[in-house]
Amino acid sequence: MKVVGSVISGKHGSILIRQKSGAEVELGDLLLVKHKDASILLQVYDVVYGSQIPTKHLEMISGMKLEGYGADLDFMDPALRNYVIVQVKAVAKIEEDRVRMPKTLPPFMGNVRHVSKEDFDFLTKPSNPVFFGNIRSGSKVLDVPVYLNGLEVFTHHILVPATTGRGKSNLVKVMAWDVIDKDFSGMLILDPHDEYFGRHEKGLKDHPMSKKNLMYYSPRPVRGSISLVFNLGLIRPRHFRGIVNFTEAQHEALIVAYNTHRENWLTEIARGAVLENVNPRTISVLQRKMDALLGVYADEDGTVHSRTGIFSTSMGQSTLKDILEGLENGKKIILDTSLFTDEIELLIGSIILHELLYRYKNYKQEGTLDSKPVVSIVVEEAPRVLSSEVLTSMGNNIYSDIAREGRKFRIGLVAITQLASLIPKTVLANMNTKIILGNELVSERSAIINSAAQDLSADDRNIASLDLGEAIISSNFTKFAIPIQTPLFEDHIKQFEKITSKEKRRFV
Amino acid sequence: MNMHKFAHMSDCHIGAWRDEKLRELNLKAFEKTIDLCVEEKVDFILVSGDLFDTNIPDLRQVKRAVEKLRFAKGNGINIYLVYGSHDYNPNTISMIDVLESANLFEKVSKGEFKGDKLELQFIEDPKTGAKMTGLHGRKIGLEKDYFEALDVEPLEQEEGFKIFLFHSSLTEMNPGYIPQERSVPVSMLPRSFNYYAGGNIHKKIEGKFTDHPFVAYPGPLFGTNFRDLEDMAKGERRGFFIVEFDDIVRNMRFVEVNISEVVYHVFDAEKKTARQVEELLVEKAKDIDVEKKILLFRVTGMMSSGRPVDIDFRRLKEILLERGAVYANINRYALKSKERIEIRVKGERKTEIEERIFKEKMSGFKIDPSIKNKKIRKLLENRLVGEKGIELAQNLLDGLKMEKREGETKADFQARVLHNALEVTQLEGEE
Repeated sequence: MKVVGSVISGKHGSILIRQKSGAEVELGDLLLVKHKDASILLQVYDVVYGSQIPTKHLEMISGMKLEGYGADLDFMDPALRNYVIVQVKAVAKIEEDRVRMPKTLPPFMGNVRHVSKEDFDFLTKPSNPVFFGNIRSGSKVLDVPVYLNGLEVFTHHILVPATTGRGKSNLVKVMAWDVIDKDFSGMLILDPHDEYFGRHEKGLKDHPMSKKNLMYYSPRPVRGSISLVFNLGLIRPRHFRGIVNFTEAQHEALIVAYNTHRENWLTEIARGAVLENVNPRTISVLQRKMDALLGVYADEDGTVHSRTGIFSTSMGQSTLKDILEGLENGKKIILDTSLFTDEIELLIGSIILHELLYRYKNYKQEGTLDSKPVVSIVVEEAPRVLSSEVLTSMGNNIYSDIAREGRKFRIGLVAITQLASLIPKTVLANMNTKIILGNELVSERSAIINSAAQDLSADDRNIASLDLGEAIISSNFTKFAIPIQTPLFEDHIKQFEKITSKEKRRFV
Repeated sequence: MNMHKFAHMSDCHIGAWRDEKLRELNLKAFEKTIDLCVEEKVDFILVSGDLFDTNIPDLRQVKRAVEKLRFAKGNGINIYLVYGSHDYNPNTISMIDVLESANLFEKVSKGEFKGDKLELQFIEDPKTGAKMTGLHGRKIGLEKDYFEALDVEPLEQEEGFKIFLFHSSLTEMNPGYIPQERSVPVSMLPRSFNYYAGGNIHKKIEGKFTDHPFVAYPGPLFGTNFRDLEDMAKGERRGFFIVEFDDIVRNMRFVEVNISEVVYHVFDAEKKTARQVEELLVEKAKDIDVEKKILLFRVTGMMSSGRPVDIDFRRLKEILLERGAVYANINRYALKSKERIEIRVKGERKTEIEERIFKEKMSGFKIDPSIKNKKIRKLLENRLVGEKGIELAQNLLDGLKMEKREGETKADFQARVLHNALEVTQLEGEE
């Protein structure tokens, strides 16, 4: 391959390369330099001009050309006198199939070239693979798919930070598409924008295995999907913890109501039932609060109704069980929460996650947890439940519980956010895989870089310049921060076709 | 417009129960229901599947059912139905077909596949003009395929008062004991019908959805297993709906059919000796009012000493029956003893247990690789692999469960069993 430059100076973490004239090197490019029997993988984090001619002379020459004093004026041997200095950092040392952190400098004056597909032969497909995209060198995409071990990355949480329009949802769609037919992982997607299923456009519904492995719950179901309705009897006071603000007296009243009426506790609150040692005014407040929150009220006959249809006294008895069993069987479940308030969306997630964590804790106790699939929870706008402010004012919630201890029970979060800086450092540190997309905000980049699994301190500009679909995977489960390009979902799925049976059928 | 009314019942399961008394009570529930329909002067009756408990039920039960159906017919009441998962067999004729050909009722699930689309036809009730169509049930929820293939557009565009009959569990109305993969979401039902008459779920449930205004399951008239009876004891009402309509549903009410009161008691045997448990049971049996009631006792927990066989359950039953109980059952499956080797099969209903075992056994089934003939391999694949195999196994088991009739010779009975088995497997006449 063509030489694009040679190593001229620098130090570990900041190596300077003199770029060959005519060669093109861009920010984020991956370059390779041979060192004895090994290759050192370098990544460009900055490019600057270099010249043998003093700046004053350069200013004079450019001025003469611009002002018409010498149209034919040119440098003698221009390629030798003016050039580009490429700043790189060594990201990996490859010895046959072994990859290590580079601890030595590349050879002085060593020839540097662009990477090729073959240079990544060491990247083997792991067990339980999840596809995230292809290796990217600058803006060039290589035909090298990047897979991570789903069991590892899903249990140890994934953070997807980026500003709007950088391809967060596209990335999660591509990732979810890839695991639809894989039974090592169940996935629950709380979808506040109703964008994953593909109601009106291409989506996860178009996967060849969607009929078997995808469940879609929506308050506006399309043919074949399930109406999202929860039976009131399934809700417990603990489901509100950290999601809805109750005073201490109200919280105690909820507990008394549950202990007294068990699964009918919410209908009894809706009816304004008298509770022992509870001030009637507290019950009245709760009655109004539950009406405002859940849309549940009692008519004059005491019959309890739901204004929204999401919560019911008679229907939706198996919803929770179906979702939990689906996740345990490796299904991917989308909940369309686009018509709900934040509180309702998070409450529904809380109902499911409390019971899921409870089940998985039991499996661990029984010793059967290892036979269960990992469950991944996709949460958009994660600071709604994970920000310092929320955790301080409302206390912990099930999402933060999972962020803290979920990995012990094979449950992980895929937290999507524009504002990673709002999430406490301790929580960010627990997100062991970060798929970093473009971000213009300095404070956000700083929060991400400071909590990354690899040293990305030199990558600030690189992250700022990431285009749509371009990302950097920084993970405890990769040897180096891998630049990737996630394909556009609509293009990616073209290679998969639904199989339709041509068997002649008979209706008896 | 004139006001009309119809009755909606389902899951009659005529012929269910091995025990004669319960079988009789179940049939009586059906007879009483028809009498109530005649009294109510309904225009027609809908049965949303499982009129009978098997495709070929005991003929003595059929005879009495036919008398009642004729009674309704004689009073100008037409009956419309769909097959249920119990009284339908894709491979052989069922009693439903025989009685339909005698004009006792009409099946509304009529249609055909055109390409990969299932086109259903409407049947119109001559008296009221109500239009009906529907889908019958199949074992282990296989009718889901029909729902998926259903060409809904012409059904939705049809004008008039429309009723859709089905024998499937709707996911949103599933009481919890039916696996999700065997249920069908409400969104699979064609829209714009005035009434959706459901069967298969053994509970009375009504639902209203944006595109499906009246979806109703009346539940069984009596019940077909002990769980159904336990539900009755816990307050589950048994009966059918009466629906009044003109161009839309105007009124809907549930008519209870109370055949016998069910009393259910759970006893905790935890840390008690077998003797203490027996004393507890006997004391209760002597204490409670059992007159003309069905008694269900359930004993659970790990005894500190003794085995379940040390408890004289027969004596307990005798006490209850002597005191006037119609029927008594003591469920001791959850009674454990430290001295007993435990064999656990998950699932409460007989059919659930059978199905689970079939599923487990058949998951590893592979066609013998020595069979090279493609046609035979295809035939076996179509009939024995996956859910079709489970369905066939269940049908075969149902077919083999038949009892010897009075006066039937052993040879005739054997021939009948063999004939039935061959019909189910469709092996007779195959190349």
